[in-house]
Amino acid sequence: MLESEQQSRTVALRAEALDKVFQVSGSARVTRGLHAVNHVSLTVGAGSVLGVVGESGSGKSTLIRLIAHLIPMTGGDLWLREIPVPRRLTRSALIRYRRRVQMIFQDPFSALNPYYPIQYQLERPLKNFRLVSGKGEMRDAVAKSLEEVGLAPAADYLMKRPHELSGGQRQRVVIARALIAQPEVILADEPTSMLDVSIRMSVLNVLERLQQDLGLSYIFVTHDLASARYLADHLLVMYAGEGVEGGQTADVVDEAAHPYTRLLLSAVPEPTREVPIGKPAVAGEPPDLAQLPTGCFFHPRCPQAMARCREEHPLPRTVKNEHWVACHLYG
Amino acid sequence: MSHSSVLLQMENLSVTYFGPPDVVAVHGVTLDVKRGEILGLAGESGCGKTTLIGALTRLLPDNGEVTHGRIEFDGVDWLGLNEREVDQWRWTRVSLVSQSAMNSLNPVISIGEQITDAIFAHEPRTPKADGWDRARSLLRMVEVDPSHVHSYAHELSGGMRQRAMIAMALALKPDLVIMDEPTTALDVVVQAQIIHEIRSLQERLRFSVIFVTHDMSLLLSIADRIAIMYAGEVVEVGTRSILNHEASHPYTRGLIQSFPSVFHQRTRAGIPGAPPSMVNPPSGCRFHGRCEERMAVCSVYAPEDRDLDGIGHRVRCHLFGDSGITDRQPLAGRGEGSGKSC
Repeated sequence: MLESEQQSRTVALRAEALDKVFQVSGSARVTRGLHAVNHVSLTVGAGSVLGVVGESGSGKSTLIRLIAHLIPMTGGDLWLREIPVPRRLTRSALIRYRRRVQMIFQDPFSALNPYYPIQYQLERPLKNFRLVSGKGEMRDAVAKSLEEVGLAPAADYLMKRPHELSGGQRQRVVIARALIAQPEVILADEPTSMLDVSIRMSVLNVLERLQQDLGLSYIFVTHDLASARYLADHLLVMYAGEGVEGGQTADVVDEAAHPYTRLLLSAVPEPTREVPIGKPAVAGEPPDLAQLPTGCFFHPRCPQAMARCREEHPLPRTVKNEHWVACHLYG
Repeated sequence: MSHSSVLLQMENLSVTYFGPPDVVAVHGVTLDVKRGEILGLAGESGCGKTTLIGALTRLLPDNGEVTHGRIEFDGVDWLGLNEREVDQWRWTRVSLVSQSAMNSLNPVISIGEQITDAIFAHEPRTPKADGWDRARSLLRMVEVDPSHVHSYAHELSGGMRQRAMIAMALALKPDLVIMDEPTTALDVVVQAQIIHEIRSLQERLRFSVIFVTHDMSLLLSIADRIAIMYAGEVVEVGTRSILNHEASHPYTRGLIQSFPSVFHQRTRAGIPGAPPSMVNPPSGCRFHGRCEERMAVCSVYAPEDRDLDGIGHRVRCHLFGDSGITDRQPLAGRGEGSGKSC
C-alpha cells in the first residue's frame, strides 16, 4: 500500500500492453486486422519527458491517441497516478481525464478554429472544465497562459485570429490552450515538425521551460531522434507498432542495443560526424502492418538476424538498470 | 562544350510575381553550379527557393517573371530560348525530382510507361522494346526490381517511388538534376538509402545536382557547396567544410544552431522571430529584425556580397561589409576579401 502511494508520486502515467487493431477492408470485402500498436508498455515519471521515436507507420501517433482516449484501444491497461483508467469512460469521467491529460497536435494550422479569436479558444477549456469563476479570473488565466508560452504582452494576441499569427505563434497558442487546463500530463505529437526550422528550437525550449517550471510530464512523439534527445530523459523506440528498446535517453543513444535503434542512429544526418552518410547497413522498408512478419518484426531487415528471429518473437529484457531491449541477441 | 567548369550561372537574378500586390520573391541572386557538383540550397519556407527553381526550370506560374538578371546554361542564354527549345532541353539537359513522388507520378499509368514516355518523346526513333529495356535498366540502377516497370505508383513504397522518380530524371542523361526536397517525405533510414544512392549515381555519371532542402544537417552531410537563402536572397555560399566550420552570416549560424544533435547534449537557441513577409520585405538587410548582431547600418542599407576568402565563400552581411559604412572590422583571422563583389 505504502509502496503504491510512493509510486503515485513518482509515476505520472503508466500503460501496460496497449493494443490497437484497425479493421481495414481489403480486396473482395475481406476485412483484415491492421496491427497499429502491439503490446506497448510505457511509464512516464512525474515531471519527466518520455520521447517516443520511430519511423512513420511505427504506431507512435496511434499510441498517444490511445493514451489520450481519442480512439478506443483494443487491449491493454492505463493508469494515471497509479489509479486505473477504465477502457471505456463515462462522459464526465472522460472530461475529468482530458483535463488532466492534454494533447498538443502536430499541425497548428488545423488545431485552432480559424473563426474565433485566440481569447475565445483559450477560454473554452476554462469553461468546459469549470476551472474559473467569474470574468476577471478568466481574463487573468488566459493572459497568464499566453505569457507563459512567450506571447507577451498577452493583450496583443487576445483578439487576433489564427491566420494573423505565424506558425510558431500558433503552436504557442496550442501549447497555451493545453496548459490552461492545468494538466499533469501533456501528449505532444510531433509539436515542431510543421514549423519553420529556425523557430523549432524556440518552441522546444518553451516546452522544456514549462516542464521544468510547472513540473509537467510529457510524452513527446517524434521521428526526429535529435529533438527527442534534446527534450526527453527517457526514450521508447518503436518499430512496426511495438516498443523495441527503451530506457534513459543517454543509455539508449550512447549504448544502443537493438539493431534497429543502431540503424536509426546511423541514418541521422550529423554534420559533426564529418563523413557523409554511408550506405545504411540494411535495405528494405518497414513491414505492412496488416501482414506482419513471423518472429521478430525486424528480422527481414536485420543484419544480425538468426534462425530463431524468424520463429520466436523476442520479449523485452533488461540490459542494465532501466535500459531494456526486445532482441534475441541479448539472451 | 565542357570546357568551362561552370555549368549554370545565375547573375543578379530577380523574380517577381505580379499581383496586386507585386511580390519580389527572388532578389538579386548570383550563384553558379559547377560540373559534377552537388550544390545545396537551404532555406525556410517562403524564402524563394521554389521560385528560384521555377526560374531555372522555366516553370514559373503565369504571373511570375524574371524581372532582372540572366541565367546562362552551358554558355547559352537560358532565358532567351523559346518554348520549343526549352522543351528539347528538358530531360536531356535539365530534369527535376520533386518533393512528393506520390503527387508527381501519374496514378493511372505504369511506372514503365512514364519513363518510356520521356524517352520516346525525345528520341522518337527508339524501338519500343529498347525503350522498355532502358526503363528496366534505369530501375535496376536505382535498385528497384526491374519487374516494377509494370507497377503503378500506389503499388510501390514511398522510398521506391522516390527512386523511380530519380530513375526517370536520369533517363536521358541530363547535365543537371534539380532535386526539390527529395527526401523530406521519407523516414531517416530510407532517406539515408536514397542519399547514398544519389551520391553514388552522381559520382558515376558526373551530373550536377541542385539539392533543395530546409534541412541544414542533411546538406552538411552531402553537398559539395551550400547556398543559404533568406527572404529571397542568397545570404551566404561556401563549401560544405567552410559552412560547417566557418559559417559567417548570423542567419546561417542561427540555422545551424537550430538543429539539436543526437550525439551531443547542448542547449540550442534557434532564431528569434519569424521569417518576414515578402510583400513588404524589411528595409536594409532583410534579416536585421531577427539578428542579434545588428548594427545601426543594418536597418538602413542593404549589404552587398563580399567574397571572404577570394575563392567563393560569399556573404551578404554588414559584419563583413565595406569599412566605409560600418566601424566593425571583419572577424579576426579572415582576409580582407578580394574586393570583388560577384
